[in-house]
Amino acid sequence: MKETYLVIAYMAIWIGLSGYVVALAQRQRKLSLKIEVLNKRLKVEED
Amino acid sequence: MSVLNRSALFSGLAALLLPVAIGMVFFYAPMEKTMGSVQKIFYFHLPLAFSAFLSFFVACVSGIMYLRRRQRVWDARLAASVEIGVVMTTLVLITGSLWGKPIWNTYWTWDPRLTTSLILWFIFASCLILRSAIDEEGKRATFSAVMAIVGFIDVPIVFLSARIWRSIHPTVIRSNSVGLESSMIVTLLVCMTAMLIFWVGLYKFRVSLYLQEAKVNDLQIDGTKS
Repeated sequence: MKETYLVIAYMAIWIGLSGYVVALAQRQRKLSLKIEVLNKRLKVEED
Repeated sequence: MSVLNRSALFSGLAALLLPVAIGMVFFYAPMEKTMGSVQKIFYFHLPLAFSAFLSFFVACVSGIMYLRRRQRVWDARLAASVEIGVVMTTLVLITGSLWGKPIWNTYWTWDPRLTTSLILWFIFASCLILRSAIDEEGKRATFSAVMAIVGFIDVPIVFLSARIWRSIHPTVIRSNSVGLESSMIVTLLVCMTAMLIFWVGLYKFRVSLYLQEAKVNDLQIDGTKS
């Protein structure tokens, strides 16, 4: 029975931390897409 | 070395050290006689709590520096550390409750250590909510700086709560000794180092992401003006 709590606790730690890292990576991807759009807009304005 | 490269270096180091730490918890550290296997939660519960305290300390220092210098970089450092601190404190509360159920026969009790930790979580979680509610950058940074400085007062209270008041929470690290066997101390130190390196990588990545987002927003605002 005690092992169940141990397993749940370790799962909570690693799911929590990796979930946060994944959320940050998603944010980084969204930001790079935004930069690409801005870059394209700048090129269109220059042309 | 750029900030992102440094962040990758620390993340890579953490990716190497964390599996070693987990391996040591399960294959090197001895089984505790009274609590059994559930005691092994402690090896990551304590490093998470220490990382959360470090986050709130960095947030407090960044808050002071922001109020003195009014530079965006200090606000970025504050935002990053508060966010990471809230994630770490959430995990501390969850793992603590999961340890408490088989040992205390309850997930939660209004013990001084638990109550002050919950208050700490509420303070900094509300700081994050406050940040998302204010659009004006200067106002947002000032309010959250004040909140981080005032909120940090709770950190020494959490640390000392089990010593000052009557508490059922175990105090492993005492002023004159550490209540652990030597192989347990080694395992704990490896877990602590791994978590701190992971914290540094995460913190550097979050700060750089915040600054990049702010720069892109500036560019978008400039673009709409011109």
